[in-house]
Amino acid sequence: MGTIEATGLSKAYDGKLAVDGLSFRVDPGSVTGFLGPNGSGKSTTMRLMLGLDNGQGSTTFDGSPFRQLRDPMRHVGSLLEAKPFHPTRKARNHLRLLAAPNGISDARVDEVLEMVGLTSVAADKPRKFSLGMGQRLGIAAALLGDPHTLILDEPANGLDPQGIQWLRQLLKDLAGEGRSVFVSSHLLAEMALMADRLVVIGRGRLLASGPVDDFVKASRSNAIVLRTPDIELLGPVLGQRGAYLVGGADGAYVVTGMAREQIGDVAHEVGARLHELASREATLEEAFLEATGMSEEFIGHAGALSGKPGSYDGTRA
Amino acid sequence: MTAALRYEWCRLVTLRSTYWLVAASLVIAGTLSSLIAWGFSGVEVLEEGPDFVLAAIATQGAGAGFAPFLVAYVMSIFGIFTFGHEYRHGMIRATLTAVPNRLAVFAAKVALTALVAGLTALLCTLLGLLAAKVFFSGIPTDSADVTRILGGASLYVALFALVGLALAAIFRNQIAAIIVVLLFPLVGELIIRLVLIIPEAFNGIQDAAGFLPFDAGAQMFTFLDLDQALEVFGFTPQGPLGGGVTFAVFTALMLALAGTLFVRRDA
Repeated sequence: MGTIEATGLSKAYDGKLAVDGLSFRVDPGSVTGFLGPNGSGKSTTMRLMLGLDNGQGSTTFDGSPFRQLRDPMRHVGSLLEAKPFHPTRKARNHLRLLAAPNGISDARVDEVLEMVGLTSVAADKPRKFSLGMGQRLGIAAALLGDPHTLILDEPANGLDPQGIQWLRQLLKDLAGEGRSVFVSSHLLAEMALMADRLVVIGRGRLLASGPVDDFVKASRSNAIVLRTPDIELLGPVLGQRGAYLVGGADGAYVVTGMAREQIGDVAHEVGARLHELASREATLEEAFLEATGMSEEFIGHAGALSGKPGSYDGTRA
Repeated sequence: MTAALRYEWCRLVTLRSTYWLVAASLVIAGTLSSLIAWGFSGVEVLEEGPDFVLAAIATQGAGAGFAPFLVAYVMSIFGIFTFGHEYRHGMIRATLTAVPNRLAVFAAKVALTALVAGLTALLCTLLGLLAAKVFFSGIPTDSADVTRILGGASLYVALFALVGLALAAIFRNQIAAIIVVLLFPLVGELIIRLVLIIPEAFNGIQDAAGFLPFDAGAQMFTFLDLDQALEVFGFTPQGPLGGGVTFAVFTALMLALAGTLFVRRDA
């Protein structure tokens, strides 16, 4: 259990839409990454989902809106901002405070403190906590009610590499137990390791949602790297048959729009020698930049390289 | 509602400021009441009337009209912190994910703030009466006036703290709320009163000054002869009941505004 269904989420600030008709679904048993450039509306979306901000649309957790959940922390755990606690309330008391209205025992408070590695500072005031320790306390609060759904906004913020690795394993384990984990992060490499599915937004609108693999495969950055001393023979024919070539500085060409096997066949047909013919998979970062319309810089950079002497500019037929 | 009350109670008892604000009130009340009682001890009680003397001692001068009721100001800070801390430390979102029913959260804050502030004032006033007993062994402390002092002072402080709570919820900023709560009753009402008693400009409506809320509320525990008051202040204040109702209505309006904004605004 733990299906999240967001429908038509919208929110405007001063007449400008920060979130614009956003609908998506998060299924149990998966880590779903929530990606979008800065200011694209990720945090606003999460606040809308939890009924903290007023806007249009609805979000249900197994069919019920957050505000109607009884003992909500037993259903949905959330981390929304760094250091959401009173600086002089002891760490353990902070968790007891959140536990009290949700019927969660003190034993569970100690359990989550242990899980996030804060047992030794449980009686300390969080005023002097580092960002990472504060983040761990926030994660402890999210886990407090042993919820079937987790909504985490940038939980890796401030964590050291060990902490990030711990968080990744924790979230994967929680998803493995059949929970829904909805997590935003700007660390794309981390997201690639952690997430099974993605919800990608830009300027408050949904750009993509589905398995990570599908999202990456759809990227134009998936290409074939070609190295040949006979580019004058091969290049024009590939261009005529619909491939797009961009020349690299080191004599390699990046080909899109044609499968590797076809390129090999064409080379054989025109009698061109091949020194390298390899697939190059897009990274999540490339796919993300492309999807969010921030790929111009990348394209511009590649284009500049193709202008070097001896390179060949192919065109789509 | 029980969830919200559990949350609010836990919030109060795990916060240092709760303890030091209550302690500060008791220390202020105990010390000042003793000093005033000691100062009065040379005076023949029956000349002024025992109720006047008792009110003066038990409320640290406020009940005799010669000092602001300090306990009320200290407990207004307590009321301000009830919402001020939520916004100052970004707790409000954590609060509303633990207890999403905003009306219940608001009601629980109002109930417990009034309770703690009212009980603290009751203890402070009892402490003051004890000081009066110590310095005036023969003073009667079982009259209806004593009940009025205890009830009036406790109610006044509870309402005063709720005004603080409402201001902090409206401004979402505890410094702004503290400034208003300190300046309006002490300076704002005084200036309005002084302007209102200019005979040429506001002839006939001087008594409107009796509706200045904090001043009106203080009538609940103030023992001043009405003719004497007219002479001193230039207008006739309302009695304890009218004053109390005025202050209670004012507080209710502030809470209604604060509650409406709290329920409607983004957290």
